[in-house]
Amino acid sequence: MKEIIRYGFILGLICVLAAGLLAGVNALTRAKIAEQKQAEEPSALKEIMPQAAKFIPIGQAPELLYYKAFDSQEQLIGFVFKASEKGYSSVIQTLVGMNLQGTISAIKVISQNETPGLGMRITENKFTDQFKNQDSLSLSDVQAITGATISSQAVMNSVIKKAQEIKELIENDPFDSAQVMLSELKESRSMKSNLIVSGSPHIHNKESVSRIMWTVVLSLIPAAVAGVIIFGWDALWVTLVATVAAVLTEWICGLLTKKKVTISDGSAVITGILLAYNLPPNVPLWLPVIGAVFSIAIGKQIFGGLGQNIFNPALVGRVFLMASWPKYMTTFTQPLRAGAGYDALTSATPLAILKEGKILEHISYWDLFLGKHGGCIGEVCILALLIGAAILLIKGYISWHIPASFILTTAGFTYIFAGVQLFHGDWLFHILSGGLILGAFFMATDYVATPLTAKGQLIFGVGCGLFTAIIRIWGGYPEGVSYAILMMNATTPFIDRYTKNKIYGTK
Amino acid sequence: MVKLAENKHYSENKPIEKAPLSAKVYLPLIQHLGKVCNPEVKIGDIVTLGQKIASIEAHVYAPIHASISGKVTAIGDWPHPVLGRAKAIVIEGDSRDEISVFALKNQQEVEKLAADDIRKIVLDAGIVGMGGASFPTHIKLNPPKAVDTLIINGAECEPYLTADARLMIEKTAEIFQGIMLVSKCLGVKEVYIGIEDNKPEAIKAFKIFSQIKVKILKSDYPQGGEKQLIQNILGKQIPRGKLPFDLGVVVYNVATVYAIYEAIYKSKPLIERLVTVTGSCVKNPRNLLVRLGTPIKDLLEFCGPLKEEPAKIIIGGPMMGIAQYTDEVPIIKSSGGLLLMNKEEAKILEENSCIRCAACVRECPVGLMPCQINLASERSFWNLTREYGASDCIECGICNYVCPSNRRLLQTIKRAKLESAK
Repeated sequence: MKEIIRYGFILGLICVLAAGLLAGVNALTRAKIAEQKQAEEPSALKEIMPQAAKFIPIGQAPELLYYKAFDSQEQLIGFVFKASEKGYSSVIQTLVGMNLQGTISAIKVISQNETPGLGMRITENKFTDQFKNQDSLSLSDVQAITGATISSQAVMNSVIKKAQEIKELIENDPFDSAQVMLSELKESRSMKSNLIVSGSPHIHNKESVSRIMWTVVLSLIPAAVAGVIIFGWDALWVTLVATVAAVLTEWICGLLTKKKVTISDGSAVITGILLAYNLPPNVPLWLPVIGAVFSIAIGKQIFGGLGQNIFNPALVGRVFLMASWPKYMTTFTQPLRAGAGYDALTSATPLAILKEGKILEHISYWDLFLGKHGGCIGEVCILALLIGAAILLIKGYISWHIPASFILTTAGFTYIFAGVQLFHGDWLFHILSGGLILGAFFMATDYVATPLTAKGQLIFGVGCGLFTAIIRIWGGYPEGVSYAILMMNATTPFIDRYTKNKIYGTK
Repeated sequence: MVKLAENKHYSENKPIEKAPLSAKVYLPLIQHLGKVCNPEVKIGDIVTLGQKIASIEAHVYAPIHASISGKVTAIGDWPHPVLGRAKAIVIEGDSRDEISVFALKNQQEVEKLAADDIRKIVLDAGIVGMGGASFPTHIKLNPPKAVDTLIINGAECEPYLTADARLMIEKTAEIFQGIMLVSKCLGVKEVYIGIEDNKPEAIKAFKIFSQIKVKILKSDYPQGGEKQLIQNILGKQIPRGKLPFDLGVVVYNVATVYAIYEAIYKSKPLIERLVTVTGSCVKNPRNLLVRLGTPIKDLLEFCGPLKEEPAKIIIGGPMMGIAQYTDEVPIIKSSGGLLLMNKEEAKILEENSCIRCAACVRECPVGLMPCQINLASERSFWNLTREYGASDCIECGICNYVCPSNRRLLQTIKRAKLESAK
């Protein structure tokens, strides 16, 4: 008993080992065998359609339907398919090549197990060559081999039957007519191949950044003219130097950052002009240069250039100069007097006089409106600024929201709090003096650093007005427009986030 | 909304003409919103005018009919005006144009038709919304809720296009009968027709019908958008995410209504449509009645010789039309215009940084902030684009039109719409 178990166990072990070995060999050779089979097919295909360069299988194995044969110019030249039928003693498989006209190019019997010496003769060239150039649906000139009629007939029948099937498949295959259609498309002589294709819309209102910017430059010119009339040629030099410095800085930054140089869009020109307008007319000329370089390089380009700055660049330059050279920035020349010519007499601005607690007696609103008082180059003449602002409003380049809310808030707040008692403030004086009008129309409306929606712009304007009034009434500086705008610039992303427009169909 | 240069003067006074039959027509298996049709003919088949040649078992689809009689010579891929390339049935014409195969119905016969009969005829005729959306019309005739207001869209706010305007002037009675059919089918109480004030003749033509209220709209773009039309005629907005049905409103384009008329009274399937062939390069701009599947090169030849070589060929209008890459492309059910632009007009403008001028924000007719969606979309911040309501965009293209930096706002918003929907 024990013996039996022992031998049984050993036998079993041998069986397991043998099975394992077999499985191992199978696993190792399976890929190779498959590869061999794969390799077989193309050579067989090539044999029966030698003019083809490429065969594309149609249908997925195991239900491979047929192959399409293409020549080296990618033109479809024919089809290859496998026909099979039971012969005398086995299933005979034949590979058939058929050209586009439906005639046979060649056949090859690829698998059979017929009677040697009889049925097997179907593999001989003498038999298969007969098929060449025969109509695949009739095979009228093909003779069966004597003594192997059943095998021969099986091959012929299978070819005819399969050819019929394939023809139907091909006729209903849109891909084939697609081939024909696309070649028709290629041949078509009137085809326009150089058409411009782009997404809609295909028209544009012809507005451009440079057009807007140069219009702003134009709208700033009346103030420059007024500045020169009021303060003499110094005002012009300061403005020109600041502008040239700003443009050069923009150009150099463009070269250094290997970005597109954008000086032609006019935005740097505006920054230069606005910076100069915020300077006293008698500053040494290196001051506007430093201010312009700082404005463009630090105020704008460091953030990524046009459209990316979070603060108004001109104001960034201005407050930098104010902090660094306050003496130059707060020494103002007296306006020219008729017949007196240019002199270097200094005078304080009306707001500074007010800040010192002195009473302004000799300045009328009319003088303030025309700019006959000390101040920065571009801020003094309200008339000139309003002419420029009108251009921008009419062109629609700025909307009324920011200027109106800014000015009205400043006026309202100063009316309430800037007087000797509540509601006795000189609001008109506050509108007409300092940089309020310049700031409200030309700097607080700078697209880049202000909110997008009307609602947001109103909030922005009110904020600017409040800060301006607070600084003017209780702050250390006589004027607060620059700081007010810069502070509100910082809040722009926040305002944008909470003042989105109402979307159609929402409450 | 924006006032655009209309450029309708090229063709607005040109009466409707029949385009000559093409030797071959290419009928794409998809010319509608919904399932692609399957061919019901084989290569070599002889087809008659108006024979149904492609259809499918589905709810949202519209069958396709032979637009000329002849022989099917191929079924395969061909340029498609909307999809770029799609499967099409090619018919080689035999120049026997037996339009008389269609049986006429008289008024009494038509009046006997029940609502379901009308829907059936409209479905079998393959009618889709012809204002551009191509939504199968039979579905709109069977709203899931009761509706009480029918709006006929005769705004035609796209510049250059005048096909709808001509149709309203020349086929007023037919359109009126079509409207009566639709309102009978839907059981509506009120019928409006919205027409822009730049079409005084059309306005005059429809004022004579007591059953229809003519609403004169300012000629602004996109006045003919469904949402804008409803707002400007009824003074209410379709709530977000809802359809006009939910307000008890259905909107039909005039050309669609005309097609319904032809299907009911003339038993005529949708085999042709009115196309404005226009643009500065076209010597003879026209409003042509064109068989579907007609390659546009045949139309250009008919309207030619061209004054100058077009640099861009657009099917549709300049705001929402699609630029074509070949003149082999056929006219399909939604093609209302063929616009040719010269080199100067077709110049692609250089894109610059956004300067936040907010022109797009001010002009967006649905209250979006296109520049913000654009920036978020360019950075693939899909949560942000969703928050900004990108999916509410109606793709009118105004944002691109007004952008001084020529930013591709619409393209990035479309992308955001796709991504937001995921």
